[in-house]
Amino acid sequence: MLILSLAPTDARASELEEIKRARSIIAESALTIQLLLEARIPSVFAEGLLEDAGEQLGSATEGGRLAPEMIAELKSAQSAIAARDAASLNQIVERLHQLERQHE
Amino acid sequence: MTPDASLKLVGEVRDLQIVDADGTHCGIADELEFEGDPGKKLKVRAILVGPGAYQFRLPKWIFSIFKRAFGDASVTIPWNEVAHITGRITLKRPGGAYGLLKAEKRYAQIVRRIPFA
Amino acid sequence: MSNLLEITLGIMTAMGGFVDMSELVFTAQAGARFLYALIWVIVLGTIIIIVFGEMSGRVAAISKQPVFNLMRQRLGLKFGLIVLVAASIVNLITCAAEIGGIGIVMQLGLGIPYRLATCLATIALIATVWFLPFKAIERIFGLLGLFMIAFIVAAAAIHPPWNEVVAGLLPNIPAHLSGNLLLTYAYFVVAIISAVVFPYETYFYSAGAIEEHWSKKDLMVNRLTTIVGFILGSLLAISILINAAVLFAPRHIDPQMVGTSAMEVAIPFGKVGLGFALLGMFFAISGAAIETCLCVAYGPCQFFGWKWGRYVRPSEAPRFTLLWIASFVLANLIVLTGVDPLNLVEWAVVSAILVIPFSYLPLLLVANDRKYMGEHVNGKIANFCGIGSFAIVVVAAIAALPLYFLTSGGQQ
Repeated sequence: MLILSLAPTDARASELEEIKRARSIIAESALTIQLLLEARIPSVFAEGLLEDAGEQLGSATEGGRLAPEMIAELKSAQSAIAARDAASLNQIVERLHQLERQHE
Repeated sequence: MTPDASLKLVGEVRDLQIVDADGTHCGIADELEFEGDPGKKLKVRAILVGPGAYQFRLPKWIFSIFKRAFGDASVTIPWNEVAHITGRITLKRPGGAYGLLKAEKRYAQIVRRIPFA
Repeated sequence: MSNLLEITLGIMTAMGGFVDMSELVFTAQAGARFLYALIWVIVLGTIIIIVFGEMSGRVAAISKQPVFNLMRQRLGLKFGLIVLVAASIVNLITCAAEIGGIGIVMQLGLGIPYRLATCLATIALIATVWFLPFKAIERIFGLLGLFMIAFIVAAAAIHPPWNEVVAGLLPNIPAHLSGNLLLTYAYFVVAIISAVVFPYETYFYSAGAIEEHWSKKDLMVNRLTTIVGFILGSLLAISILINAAVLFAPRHIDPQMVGTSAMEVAIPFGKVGLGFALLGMFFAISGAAIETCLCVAYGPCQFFGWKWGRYVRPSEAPRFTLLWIASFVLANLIVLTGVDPLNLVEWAVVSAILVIPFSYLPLLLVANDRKYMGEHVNGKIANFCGIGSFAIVVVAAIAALPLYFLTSGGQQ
């Protein structure tokens, strides 16, 4: 009973999950780009990670579980990944982090 | 432990690995066969090995699956062919002498077709 | 001298083979989300695997009974069969997760497309197991897995707050956690225990002891390998957690991609560090893929008494040979369906904890049976630790599914 009483409601929980996942993927992408620019990782490694990140963000936008504003943020993130813009990605991460706090 | 020492037959003998005199794995003691008459002493007569031996230990629908995959044959090993029992049952002669290891030979023919087997 | 060499190699092999996909994923996420608060769970899991690892080696050496035969004997044919099927499914899913992990590492390290990489890896693993004897397989992957030491070196180099690391060694619940996060914390406790205590490690260790014809004289090797080897191995897992806490948490990273963990070493040491990390991950995960695949084959063979083992030629243990080849192929097919390896890891970890109590109970029973173990039966300390560890895994098993569903696999 204690465990069940702590459980969140479904739809809100589902959206929060997606926001958290996306936030992390975007943050991982930002770190990857930063390390690539500092020549601390080879481009083959970075390209592989960023390609995976782009695909995961793409699946999230098509999932139908997110509000339009969230989808817009994820699409901006995809563009920033393509442009190798770590600064923009970090800004998106901060905004998503604020959004998570509001949901929690 | 030897076959004449005190044993719990169901808990300590049934379901033990059987190895032959060469140390080859030859199956599991799937069931035990007893002999005796009313009022007389019950003795272990043989160990039964194979799907046919454990068919009555499984629900019918599960055994029907086993039967399709492995058949329902079983092999009888006389109790006096047991050399000793420890964490496994060791027999006095090679497994082939009892009619064991036939399925291994069939599958071995398949594996031998693979290079460097 | 040769005994000392044997012990040293055994310890190093146990250390190098400790980490697999599940530890990589869960310890990194644990550090990123809860900083140092879950270190104690890795320690607890290590104690449990030491207890049951040592027991399985001792039982194998003295009674010559491998785990799946113990399962049949102690749980009975019907119930034992259910556990066999469940364990085989868990091992197969885990093998698929490991093959997926190898594919990711090859893609990131060499630029090989993911699906092609998993197929190449599967072929290479089949060839490895086909041609190499058991001891060589164990040693090669265990020792080369020691490239993972790069994570320990990185943890030292980034100067974590050691007072907080030490505090994390003791059981604790972080203060001010919301209801959701409390559930998620509990889920990570269960998941990390499961990841560290994965049943395939005991199955493989026990089978190895029998393949190498262990006897009374090997009991000291058994004890030292499990105790020292697993403790050193747990340092690898703890270092992954520490690195994530220092490097990922401030960046709001909660690793969702396997390759991110390798960046723990790239941040302090650049490309060379990344190379070591990827090599370590490659060999550690490959070793785990081989172990889990062989365990899929060990299960039915030990349960039905068929010939098994890599100590004989493939054609001399034909059903065992066909089973492990089929397992590799099936595991790769699972990966080729496109399922995310992280999802496979999740399912493997949750389903493994459900099987663990039924794998360990027969071991505990036989280890206490003087008829099979003679003077090497469990003493008071072994029993205290064994029963205590068993109680912990039972509690974890009961909590696993409710926590998985309530937290959506720790994503809340």
